[in-house]
Amino acid sequence: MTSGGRNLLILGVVSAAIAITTTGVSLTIYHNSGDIYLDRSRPGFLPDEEEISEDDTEEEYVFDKNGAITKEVLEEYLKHLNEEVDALELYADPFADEMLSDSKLGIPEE
Amino acid sequence: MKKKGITLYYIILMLFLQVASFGAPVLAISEGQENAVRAHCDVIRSSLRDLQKTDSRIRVYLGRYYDNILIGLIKPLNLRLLDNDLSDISLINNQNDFNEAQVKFKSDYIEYQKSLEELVAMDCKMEPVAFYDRLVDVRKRRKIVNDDALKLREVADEQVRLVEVLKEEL
Repeated sequence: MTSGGRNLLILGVVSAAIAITTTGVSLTIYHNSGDIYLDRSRPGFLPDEEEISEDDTEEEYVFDKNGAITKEVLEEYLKHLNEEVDALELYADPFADEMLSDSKLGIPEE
Repeated sequence: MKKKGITLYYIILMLFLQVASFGAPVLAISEGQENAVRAHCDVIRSSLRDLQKTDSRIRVYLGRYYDNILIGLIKPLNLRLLDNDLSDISLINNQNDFNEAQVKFKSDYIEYQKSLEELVAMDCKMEPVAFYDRLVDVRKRRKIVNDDALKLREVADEQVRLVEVLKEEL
């Protein structure tokens, strides 16, 4: 093998080692930070078709941080705030106990 | 001397029994439950996997509205009030409460999901008791996340109330 060929081989091996190391470090950080549990792009957690609706393309309302404060401005603010708060009502008791209860999982009560 | 020896023997025996009892596993389930976990292991794990997906969906939905409320409504209002020399300490405190509650919700949710994932990975046919112990732990973590979500709702409702009061004072 020529010296040029040997150098190329060394370059390839070192590059592969660096790539594997940095990928491993990234995956470790991704896992340990907990981001993996928030990521819905991983297999099995992708959003269903019905979750992706036209409403998602609308821009969310942002209250203007500049301007006067009047009764009318606050009424408009409350209208938007109540819309957001009402949306939370869809899951009034999220992560409730019953989904992990013995009866729900088919385990007989003691 | 003989009496001291017998006393010492009984003391050592009692200590040994105490230590031995700490080493024994605490049985959280009855034999019937253990058999049920073993028999329905696949169905239980499948239900838990479905629950993971449902929880993920709920978390994204709620997270979106929490962000809208904090970033789109609570923070800009406080900035605008400051600009108009109308800063309200109650509203500022409420912003801090919401921010803290949201951070806590995210952190507790991650711990809950981590625990749930470990539960799903366990072999409930081979280790039904350990599986059930882990299930009890997951339930506790889920309750914490539930409390966090209810707290966020409470703070959001408080924001509505405070702004209504402010509106009346203008």
